[in-house]
Amino acid sequence: MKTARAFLVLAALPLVVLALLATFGARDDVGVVMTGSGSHALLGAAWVVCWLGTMTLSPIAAGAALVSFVLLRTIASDTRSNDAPPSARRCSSSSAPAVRCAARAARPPGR
Amino acid sequence: MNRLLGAFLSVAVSSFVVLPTLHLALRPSRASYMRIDDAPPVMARELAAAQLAAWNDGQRDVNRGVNPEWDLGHHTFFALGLTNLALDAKPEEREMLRVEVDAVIAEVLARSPRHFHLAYFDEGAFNGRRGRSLFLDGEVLLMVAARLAVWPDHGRDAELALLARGVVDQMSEAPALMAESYPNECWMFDNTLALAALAVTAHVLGHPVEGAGALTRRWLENAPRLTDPHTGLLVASTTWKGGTLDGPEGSSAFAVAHFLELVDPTLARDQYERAKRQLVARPLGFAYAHEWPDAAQWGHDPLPPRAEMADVDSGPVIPLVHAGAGASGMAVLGAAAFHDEALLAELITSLELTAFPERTNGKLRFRASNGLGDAVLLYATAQGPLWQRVRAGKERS
Repeated sequence: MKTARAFLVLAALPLVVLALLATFGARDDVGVVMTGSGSHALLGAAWVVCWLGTMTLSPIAAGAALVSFVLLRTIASDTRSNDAPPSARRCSSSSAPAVRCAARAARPPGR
Repeated sequence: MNRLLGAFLSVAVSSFVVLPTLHLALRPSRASYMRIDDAPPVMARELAAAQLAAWNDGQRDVNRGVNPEWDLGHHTFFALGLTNLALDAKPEEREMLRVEVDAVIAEVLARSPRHFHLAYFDEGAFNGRRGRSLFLDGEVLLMVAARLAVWPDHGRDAELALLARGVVDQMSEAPALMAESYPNECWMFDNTLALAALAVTAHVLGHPVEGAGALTRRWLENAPRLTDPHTGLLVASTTWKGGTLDGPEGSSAFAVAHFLELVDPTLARDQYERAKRQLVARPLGFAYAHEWPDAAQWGHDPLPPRAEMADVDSGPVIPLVHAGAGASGMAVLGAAAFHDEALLAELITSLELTAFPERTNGKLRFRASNGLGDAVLLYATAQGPLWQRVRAGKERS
């Protein structure tokens, strides 16, 4: 779960910085980066980096958060299945109808 | 360790899905960059609206401190973009565009040649007897010829013929038929543009000016000597005697192919296909162009004298991927001119990602570009009608 959250933060980070840079008007300085150095070149360069980060890395990080979440759920469910007693494991993992499993679990011990 | 492995796997799976599909989210509609039902692309209209507003506001967004040549390039591509749009326009808009084109040409004619050249324009003497720059004279001729092709004015035919004869003289007296733009420096871009300008002039006048036909024939016969044997591409610049200075360059090759369309369509197509093969990279639905072909093709042969030396024409070259800003902009012109829709779509998608488009009230400009870059893109998306008109005239005659 922690990994998925970390990926979500990574996905959001360039967006947040981009929004901040937009507030400072860094977008206007992008041309300075392309045509030569200037007093605002650093601000423009930061915009370029965050824009490209937002467009390429954010979707990857968001996707990774999703994959990571699915992976964790799968592993967690497998772990739970492995920790359970054999009868429960059979019931949870088999394709047997739920009614049959429930009946088996309700059967009195000793028979 | 398991968590690290899980994280790595998550990024790998996500990248595998996101990277190949990213271009789909950025690709504009086909009508944005293609002519549909004989109407100019939306992008051409948006770029023209932004550039006309800037022009009428007195803005000339070209950093002359970096390169004064950009100033002339901006005027030329802007004027040519507008002449092409005028051919599709309604009468009242067409008249408005004529006024703008005349103003652009007048501004160029009012400047001294030095205004549009780098400082070494004055270092050394020209070999040509006229001592003039074909960069300036060729672009002036093309602008005036294009203007008169769209808005005929027989009162100006003599002026056009005079300009054209000057260009013919400049090129004809050069040993390799390559006229200079700087002392002992002759650019393929300028010389092929001049040949195209002579073709438009012939269309306007109804006949070629004296010597133009012979010059064009001789130039085409000499073209193999101006061709790099490793790539089959015309070199970018030569000395007065025809020795190579710059080998093939992306910022030149695509435009050269486009200019040659009016001179020798077969050679033009061949040059375009070679430039595409040698210079274009197309990763994951995007595309960009390199400024130089892969040097490995030269093997043990010496590279051209100024090989891989970035200059003010190339624009910034992005390290690692070697994407050239100038080459990629000109590749848009090449792809549009040769109706290479798949490549054009990929190049435009790259622009959407890396050139920071800004669309406001039907106006489009690219933040990462300058006046020249935007003017090239305007011309690239608007071009077609003028060349078509000249070619149709040629076929009729």
